[in-house]
Amino acid sequence: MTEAFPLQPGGSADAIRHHYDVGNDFYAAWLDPTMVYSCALWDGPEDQAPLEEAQRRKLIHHARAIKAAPGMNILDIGCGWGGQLRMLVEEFGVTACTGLTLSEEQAAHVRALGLDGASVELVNWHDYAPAKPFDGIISVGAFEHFAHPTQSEDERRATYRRFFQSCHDWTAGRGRLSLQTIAYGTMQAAQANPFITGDIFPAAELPTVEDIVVASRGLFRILLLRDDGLDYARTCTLWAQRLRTAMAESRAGDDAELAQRYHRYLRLSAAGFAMGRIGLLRIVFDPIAPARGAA
Amino acid sequence: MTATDSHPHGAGEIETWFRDYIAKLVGLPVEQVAGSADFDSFGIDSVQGVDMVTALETWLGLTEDLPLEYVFEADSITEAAQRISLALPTGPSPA
Repeated sequence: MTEAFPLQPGGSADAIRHHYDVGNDFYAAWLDPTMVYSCALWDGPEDQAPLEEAQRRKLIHHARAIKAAPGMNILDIGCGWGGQLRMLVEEFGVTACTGLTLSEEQAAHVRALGLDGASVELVNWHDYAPAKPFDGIISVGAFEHFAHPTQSEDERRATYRRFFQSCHDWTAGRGRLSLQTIAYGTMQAAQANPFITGDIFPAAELPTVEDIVVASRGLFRILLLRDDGLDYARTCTLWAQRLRTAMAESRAGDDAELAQRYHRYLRLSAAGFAMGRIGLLRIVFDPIAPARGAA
Repeated sequence: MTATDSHPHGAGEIETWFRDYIAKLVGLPVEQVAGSADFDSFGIDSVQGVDMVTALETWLGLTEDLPLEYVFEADSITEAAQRISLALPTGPSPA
């Protein structure tokens, strides 16, 4: 049997484009105006903040987590449509920031934002080699794509280890990392729904909390680890409602089958998060500096 | 709510729809799908649950999503049908 996507640690470009390059206009029809396509942040179920405000809080959370400040140089791995880069430039005054993405449509969108000091590179983190160290790294909604379902646990953790080692190297062992990723909750990999693993996110495998703890050991100290799966259930529910409205108003593009497929995916995801089968991890890492005199 | 401004589909009709749908899904005579039973007792998983709610929305002619918890958190088919019936948009009020 031929692999639909080649084995490529670090997330294959084909797999990423399969999901994200279905048209910026399609995503714009149901994401909030800032085009942030990841879990928003609420302060519990009583918090009535609208989606756009909750997305903004998420961006602020990550910027604060790495202590973003004027003069700093920040890396955003999996920058999407540039919402985090915009926040870093416009509200935290960072001097420079670089976004990495494998989606050509996202890269074009970020460039068109014309953010002062921000750049975007169409490159896999696996192949990335920055010219100078960063002061901090943010990665939201990218880690889910790093491993491949055919990898063993050891192989998967080796891929994650390489990611954490790269982040450690790219900040010269001095910068924080703020990570946000979907992870397995009560569900095991074998129970994953083929519609999502095959049709929506081909060639993607989720991490477990244990994978992340093991893979980052000795490189980073975990300062904060929270599972905000209920926030993602709420985010997906709101996205599904917005997509449904866009479909009813003929604003979801010409491909009705695509819109229905995504609508189903968003509701299935909402159910998975609500039941704890999958979770949403937000983790803040503090670097462990290399020992003096170490190679 | 009065009879004139209620949605044309009441709780009883929605319960009947659920029972018919589940009977076909799991291959049981509809008489064996009791309204007092919960959805889990038929082995309906989250994927089947989402697809069932979507099919119900289509049958009801809704253009907005029903909250999934109406089904996922209900203790019985009857309870889910009642919650959904109460949440349905009402028709035009009499002048």
